Amino acid sequence: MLFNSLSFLVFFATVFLCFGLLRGWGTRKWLLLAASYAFYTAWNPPYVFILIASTCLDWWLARLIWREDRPSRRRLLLIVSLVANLSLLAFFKYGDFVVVNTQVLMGALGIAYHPPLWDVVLPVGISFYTFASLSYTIDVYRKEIAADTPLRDYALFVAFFPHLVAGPIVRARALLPQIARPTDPTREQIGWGLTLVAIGLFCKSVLADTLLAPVADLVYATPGAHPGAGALAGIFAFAGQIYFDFGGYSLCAIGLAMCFGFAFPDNFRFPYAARGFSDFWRRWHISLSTWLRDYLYIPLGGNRGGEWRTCRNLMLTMLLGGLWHGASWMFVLWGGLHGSFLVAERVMRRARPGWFDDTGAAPLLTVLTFLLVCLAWVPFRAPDLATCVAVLTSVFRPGWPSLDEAMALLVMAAAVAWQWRVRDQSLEEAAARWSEGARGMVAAACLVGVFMTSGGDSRAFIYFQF
Amino acid sequence: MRSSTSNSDIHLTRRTLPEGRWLVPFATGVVLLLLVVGMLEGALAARGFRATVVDSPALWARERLHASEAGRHALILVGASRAQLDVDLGALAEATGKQPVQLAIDGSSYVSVLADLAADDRVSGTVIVDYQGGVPDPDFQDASMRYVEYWRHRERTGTTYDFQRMENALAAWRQGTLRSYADGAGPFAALVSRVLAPRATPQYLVTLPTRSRDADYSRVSMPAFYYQRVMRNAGIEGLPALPDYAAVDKALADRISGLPQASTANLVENVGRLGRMVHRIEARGGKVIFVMFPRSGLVRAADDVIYPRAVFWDRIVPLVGGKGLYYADEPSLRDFTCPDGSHLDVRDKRRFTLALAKALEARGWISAGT
Repeated sequence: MLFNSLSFLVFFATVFLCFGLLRGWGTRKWLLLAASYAFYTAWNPPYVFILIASTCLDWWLARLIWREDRPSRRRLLLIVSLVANLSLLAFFKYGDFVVVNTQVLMGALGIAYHPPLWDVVLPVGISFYTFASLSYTIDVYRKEIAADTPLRDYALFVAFFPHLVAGPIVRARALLPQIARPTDPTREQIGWGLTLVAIGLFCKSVLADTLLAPVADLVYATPGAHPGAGALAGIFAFAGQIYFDFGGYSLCAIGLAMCFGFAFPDNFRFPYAARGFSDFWRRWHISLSTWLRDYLYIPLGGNRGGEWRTCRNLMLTMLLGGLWHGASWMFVLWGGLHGSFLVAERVMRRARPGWFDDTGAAPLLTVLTFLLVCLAWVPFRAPDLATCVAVLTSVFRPGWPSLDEAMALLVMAAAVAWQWRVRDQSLEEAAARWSEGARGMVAAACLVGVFMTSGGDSRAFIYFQF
Repeated sequence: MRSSTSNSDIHLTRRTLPEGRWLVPFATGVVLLLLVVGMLEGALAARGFRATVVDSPALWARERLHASEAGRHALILVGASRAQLDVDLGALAEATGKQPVQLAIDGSSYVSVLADLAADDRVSGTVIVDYQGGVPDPDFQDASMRYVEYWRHRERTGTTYDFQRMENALAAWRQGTLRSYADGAGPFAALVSRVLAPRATPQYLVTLPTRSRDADYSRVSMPAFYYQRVMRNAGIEGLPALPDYAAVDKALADRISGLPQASTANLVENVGRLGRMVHRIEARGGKVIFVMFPRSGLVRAADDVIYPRAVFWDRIVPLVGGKGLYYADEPSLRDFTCPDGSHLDVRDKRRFTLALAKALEARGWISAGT
């Protein structure tokens, strides 16, 4: 059930109405939990049992960890939780990848290996809810939060429908206290929440799906047919598509949660205005980058232990971050590129400490960062290395863009310029300056845009597949 | 527990809201949206456009279920556009007392649908096949397979709660209610090509919720539309520029007279397989009737050349159970004129359907009013 579908409109209206009519915080939580499971069954009903099983196991293990004083036993219980969650992820998401690569490896060694067909449907959102759930058991293990949450509240934390299938990856210590405390959303929270949903849907339906995706799809499907500016338009178009698609989804999630009185953190903060890659990763998919920082990079040693170890940790984190997106070497390559960029930036920061803070160099740094980010999107989007190379070499062949490609370039130029302009603000700070008339016009423009582009085949949000 | 005010703090428990009112401006935005929708609908209505259903595998599957559920009371139409455009389901129900089910699929062969009906033991009604000429090929895969596969998948997965079905139903409701989505378009396409375009193509074809279709040929430019249809049906391309329509008519007639007859390869074998499908349905108490729907003018001439009756129809019908009605054999049917050469106008639909029902009744294949 996509946020931009008619069924979701009916679903949300029904749940929101019932939420408003019900009295009693406990009853409301039951409603949200039941609605979230119903929302999840819309994709593949049997998989809701995996979600429930994973939830119950982590809740139970966290309680055991919390009550346990012996360090070795606590560690063992944590390992059980990690193995259970990561095995689930590995089975559904990486099983086929492992089998195919084993076959290739054995073939290279001259051994004929014919594995069985791995025909397993990936449970939607498994990467997101697994990470959300893991953050809970790890935080309990670290004694950063108590494991005294009732099962219903914990289940709602994991399954709450606005973040269930594509994040933001909400932390237990942020959402559980909100679930525990009775909440009544204010009129203005509802109004701003719905405005965020409208802006998010506009980003998704108008910008990502209508203006940018067709250009990107065409260039990546037939790279040889789009020389020069056309190929460049395709590369930039995908950069825009994935930002407006996932950023739009995140805005919808934040807005929907707000309509029920819950606060989700920002997931994007004008990433294409980043100055350098460490800045980019503070602005892009913030809930994943901070998760990887807190639960992978820092436990690996972070920046403690010398330059070599720091660079190794950065690279490992980014490679695994790439792999998190899907079972493909192209995602690993994307992660590797970002890891290399971060390492290179670190080296440069040490060599020329003032350069990154020099306001004169800021425009150049922003443009360079944007171009390299777009370069890294090429292997991310390309289905294989051959397409990736073909798209990149197409850029060097002379040629003019088509009308659609020119439009995509224009949209991206406007988007990057706007991000540059507001890079140090939040959306809320920008919106606070709008008059009431302007607010109404923004809402109307977004809603009309969504209406005008409706009616075709709905594209799923890109991050649903991760 | 920290209570952050920075919205990008991953541990925040409270978001900072932009100051001022937000619900009233959002409500204003919704009102403006409704105004835009209303204006677009009004503009489309003023230009004569109607809301239409858009045919889809989901819609077909819904009708297909009726074909199974209605048992011997079902009167199932199978074939292509002629069965959709020429038959008035309301009139058919009125004349026969049966429950008509429209399973014809525009531009498709009837064979895969007939095979699906034959394979379903619940189907025991009367099947009217819109025979299109030529040798049927049971192995040919065309657009109808997508419909049949969708139905089979739905049958396999059962009738439990299904998001896609709900979404399809809502989309169908939206298409059947708003002109902005007519004919599978979206509001933007409707605005550009129907409201803003100075010479917008009129909407002569409307799909009804039952999957039947109405064609109003008074809305198209004749005879250009007719000649386009003739060329499409006869597979003629590249007609040179001619001074007038009389010359076009003559040139097309000449080209049609020189068209080759369709191949009869595998006729006996393929029709034999078709006959086995018919036999399976009839063994359950059902009936399968082959009907050659009316053609006119050069479309009829082309069909007579490509699919001569003596070579195809007269040989095929006995092999598939013998129940065949050729429009030219029936005085009440043969005088209908197809404005585009291939299909009837909506104004003739009811009269034709009543005459068809009567002709079938006269042959004892359906019993009127039962």
